[in-house]
Amino acid sequence: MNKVFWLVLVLIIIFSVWAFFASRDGIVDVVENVAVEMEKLAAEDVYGGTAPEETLRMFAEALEAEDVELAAKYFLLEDDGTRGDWQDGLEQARSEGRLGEIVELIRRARPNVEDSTYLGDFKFIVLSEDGLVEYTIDMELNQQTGVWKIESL
Amino acid sequence: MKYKLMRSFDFGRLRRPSLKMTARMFLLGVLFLMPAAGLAYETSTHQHLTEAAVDFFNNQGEQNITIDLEELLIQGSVEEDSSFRFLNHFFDPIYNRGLEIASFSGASAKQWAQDEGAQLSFGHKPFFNKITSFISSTFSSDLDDELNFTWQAALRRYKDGDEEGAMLALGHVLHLFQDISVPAHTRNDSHFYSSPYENFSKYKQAREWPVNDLVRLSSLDDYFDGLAEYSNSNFYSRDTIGLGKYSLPETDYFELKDGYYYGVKNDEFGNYYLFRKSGGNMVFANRNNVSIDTPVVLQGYWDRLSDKAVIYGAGIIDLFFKEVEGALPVIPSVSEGSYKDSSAAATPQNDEEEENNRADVVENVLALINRANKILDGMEKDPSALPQDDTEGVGGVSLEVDDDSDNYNANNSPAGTFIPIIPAGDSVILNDSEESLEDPSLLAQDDLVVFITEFLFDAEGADTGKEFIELYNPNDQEVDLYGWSIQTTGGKKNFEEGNVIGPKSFFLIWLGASSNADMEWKSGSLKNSMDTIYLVRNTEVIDSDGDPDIVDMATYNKDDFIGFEPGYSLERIVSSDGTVADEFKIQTQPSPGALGNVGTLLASVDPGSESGMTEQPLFQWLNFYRDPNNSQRSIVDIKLNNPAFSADWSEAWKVLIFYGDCQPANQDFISTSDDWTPATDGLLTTTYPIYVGNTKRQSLILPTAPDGYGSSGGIKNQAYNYSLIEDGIVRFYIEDDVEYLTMAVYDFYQSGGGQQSFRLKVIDSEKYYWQEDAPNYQPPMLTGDLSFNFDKQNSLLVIDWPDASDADSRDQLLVYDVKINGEVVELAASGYQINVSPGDTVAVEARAKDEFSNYSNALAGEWSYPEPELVINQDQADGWSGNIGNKNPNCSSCPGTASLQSVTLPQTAEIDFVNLKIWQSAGGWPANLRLSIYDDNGSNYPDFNNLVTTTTLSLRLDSDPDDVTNFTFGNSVTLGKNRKYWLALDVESYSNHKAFYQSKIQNAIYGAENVYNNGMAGMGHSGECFSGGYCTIHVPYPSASADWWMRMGLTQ
Repeated sequence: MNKVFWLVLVLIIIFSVWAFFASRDGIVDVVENVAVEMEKLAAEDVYGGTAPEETLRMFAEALEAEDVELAAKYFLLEDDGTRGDWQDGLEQARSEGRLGEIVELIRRARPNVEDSTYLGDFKFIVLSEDGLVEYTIDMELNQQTGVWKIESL
Repeated sequence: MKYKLMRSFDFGRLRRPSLKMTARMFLLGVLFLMPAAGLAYETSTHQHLTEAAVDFFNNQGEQNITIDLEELLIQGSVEEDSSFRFLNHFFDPIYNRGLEIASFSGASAKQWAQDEGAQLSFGHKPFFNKITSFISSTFSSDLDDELNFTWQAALRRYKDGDEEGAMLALGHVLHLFQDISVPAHTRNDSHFYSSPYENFSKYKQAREWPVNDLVRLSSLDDYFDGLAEYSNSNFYSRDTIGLGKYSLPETDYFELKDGYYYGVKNDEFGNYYLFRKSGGNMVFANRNNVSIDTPVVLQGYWDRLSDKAVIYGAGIIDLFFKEVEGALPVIPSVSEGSYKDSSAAATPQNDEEEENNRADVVENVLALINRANKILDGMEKDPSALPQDDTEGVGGVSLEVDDDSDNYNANNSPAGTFIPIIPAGDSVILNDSEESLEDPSLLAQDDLVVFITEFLFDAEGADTGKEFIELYNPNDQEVDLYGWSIQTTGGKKNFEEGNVIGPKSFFLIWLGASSNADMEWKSGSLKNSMDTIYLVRNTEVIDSDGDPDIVDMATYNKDDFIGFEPGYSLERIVSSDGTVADEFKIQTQPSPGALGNVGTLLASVDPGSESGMTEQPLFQWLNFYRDPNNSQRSIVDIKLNNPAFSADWSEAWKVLIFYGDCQPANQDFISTSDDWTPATDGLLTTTYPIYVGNTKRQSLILPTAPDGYGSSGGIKNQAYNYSLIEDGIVRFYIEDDVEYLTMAVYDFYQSGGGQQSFRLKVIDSEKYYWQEDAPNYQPPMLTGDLSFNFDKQNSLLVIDWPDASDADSRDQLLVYDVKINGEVVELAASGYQINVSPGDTVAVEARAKDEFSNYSNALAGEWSYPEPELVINQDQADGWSGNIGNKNPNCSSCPGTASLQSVTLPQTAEIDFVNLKIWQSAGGWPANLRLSIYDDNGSNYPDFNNLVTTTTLSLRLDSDPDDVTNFTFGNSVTLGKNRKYWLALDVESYSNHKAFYQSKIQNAIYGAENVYNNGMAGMGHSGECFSGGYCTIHVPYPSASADWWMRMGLTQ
């Protein structure tokens, strides 16, 4: 009886120790792998200029050429790793003939330097005739590649 | 005890856009968030908030936390973000939950802080949680030390005598409080997109914390509940603005500010902005952008939330010591031995007392070394994981202790503990703001100035034995340092007998051993984050920055030196004339004791030279008078010299400081840290134009070159819009009500390390008195002739004239009154265009007007439309067509609705224009109007496959029913005899897509009788129809006899 008890106890201890170490990195590994993948995506995102104005110009040129796929690449990555939402929106705008209208708005955009919340944030505004802010274009710097991306417009 | 560095990931490298990938994890069915999501403040912000909480706690005067224990608190508060523990840093007080998203549910911060089992088992698969928790708590105390940083662990360790372990755990708990002061963490917002508030706050570390009462609550839960409710109920996070699940915060009212509408809330500190409406969305027309992502909003957030984090943090520290029954063995009160106090135990007054205290000092150093070595062992000798003082102060320290040194780091026991009450500054400060190198030969030793000119506080790798402090004697006589001391907030070293600096020579203090040193301070170390170095004229511990015995001092904060890397030193800024500034700059190639940049400059200076301060007139003239167009403010016009200012001044920027009803202050330097503004009363606020809009500042920054302003950052962003400086006149506005103004001019001096500074050059003490009336400015000049250019294609007449000029007003502000056929319009620039039709005659007068309503002479001229040959002249109308230009909202590819008209000419005719009466009865969006002519398809309908000609008028907006719209074809076309043609009028596009649904454009129709030969009006599409019945054509419409109002013909 004593032998069995000790044998069971030893087995429990061995199992517990194994269980402890075997289960250690489940979360950590998953999240770290994801982080590496995301870093890779960000590092590959080279669409844009080194100044916010340059990115806007490139974006407008893509719209003028009705190259919606290229234009969408100037946006920040969406949550799902694509710019799907923006590309869909631009496709819709193209079908409605509104790309030229967007280009015109972008050409009216002026920097609003005092509205930056931190280095790597930059905003443009489009004013209406009565002086109200009709649109705000929010830009953000991709810290890894050094290019400015459109966050929203 | 061993405190291993927890497995960590370099979160700092993860920035957006990779942050945006977090949701992807859930979409992919992965359980957990990416590392950066959920991180709240930057680690540097946590450090700063912890330091502030400790300072706040210490300032209550009941107990004090020593520097080395504070370092452990900071270490704990920084490390809490490692190993994905941040997943448990959320606490939503409304629903009493942690982070919940998709299938993931984290522990609430409130639970996490007190649940030892949860912390010990965190990171394990759920199945094993109970087992691993049991094992780790039962069999492995080491594991407990590594993973368990709960409130209970902190209390237990402290009661067991393990102060370091307790502080480390308490630091982790402080971190949780700092996180739940972030609204995203109390509103279940995982901030996939990163948090605007957190991004903003990482540049807000140098805030001066206001004095408030300590918040004393009875339990940790009360602290969590109180802070979380405040954060949740008074602020928004980026993705929870207006969410129905949170009823608060509520907007008190809305305010229009700088073109934006802001939601405003009021609390005990005043009003603050909750959010703003940032306009529409260009791509998604049905979306509005509502945001907190602006400094206007975030500053109010930070002011309130950071204060709460500090106050609550101090309260938690207070609660901690109350729960361990006030036992704080190594914390003397301020009055008993702090840095403020000069009692014998704490601050040796003389050699004898120092000798008496030596044993305590040695003991303290040994205790420090033993403790630090143990920590080092436990951290696998990774110095980066240690508080910097510990790393530096231990690694290279031998057991030798200098006879004359008091090591303030050695405060591990009651004796010899010093709590410096010295505010940490954010820049290096010289005790005198400027010390020009006067001839010192007549000065006594006590009056001689010695500068701290360079120091290295953070070396590559371990700091031990690599740090130094360099002094420089700018005088023409030697300075005997014996009896002086060099001090930091963590220690002191007395100069030794024989320590003398020769005239214009360096003195090198090495923190460690070095054969090049003039004096070794073997136990000394400089903190890697921030500290103050004092050169003191005696050996007493200084009690404040205002101590008159401080010869020089340097306060540094690494965060202020952008681009700083370990191994760089900080070097004093010295101008070409030898003026020593307050500030230091980064020196990438340290030159201890050598003639570096500073030394070269200092050595070359003639100590008798003047600093450049003069009293002289600055400008040709200055006018200060009421704005005739705005009685609430005054205009200041300054006519600059040519060249502006003095030629020997440096080229870059000037800062003009204006004073009201007083003389200018004689402050030598102003810098970014004080917003380029002297610390004095009487300053006037100027409003002046910058790159975009205007700015209001107490320092007018004037560029001296066209590229001196812009949006690329630094000074340029705040600089006067150079393009608006005209005829040498700088104009700005003042709202203060004063009788006269005086001024001082500062010269650009230095930029670097995140700072820009200016140096006082000239004080102008002349009083420029305010005048009720504007000066007698000259009227503008307008010369030349009017020109008329007819754009036949677009039926436009372009009228132009030369720009006017004004000798004493800004030309860009000139406007033009233009009278066209008796109607006057005011234009901001020369040039005007109007639509014209055959038969029109246009009489024009134009004159310029300055802002004081002085008029120039007028230019006059007249133009007539070339007389056309009309083929159709149907000038009767009694109604309107249906609306054209509309589209089926459900058919984006459908063509717009057209107005149609058939014509059959009795003889062949050549035409190149058509006149119609068109107006827009609703909708204010300009349209591109198109008129096309098609053949008939043989069935009394247009043949859209056979286009004869077409033309488009761009962006027309006709609100007057009497307007005649002229369509001109680029090339004339010939319409055959007795052949039916169809004219189709439609909208090619609008300036806004909404107009397709909302505009009502119609053309005039005469329905009484059939005027044209077999002509019929109708409505329908203007091209191929893609959508079922909607795109049909209705002919005739409205009746068989209807005809357009129309003139058709050929221009001569």
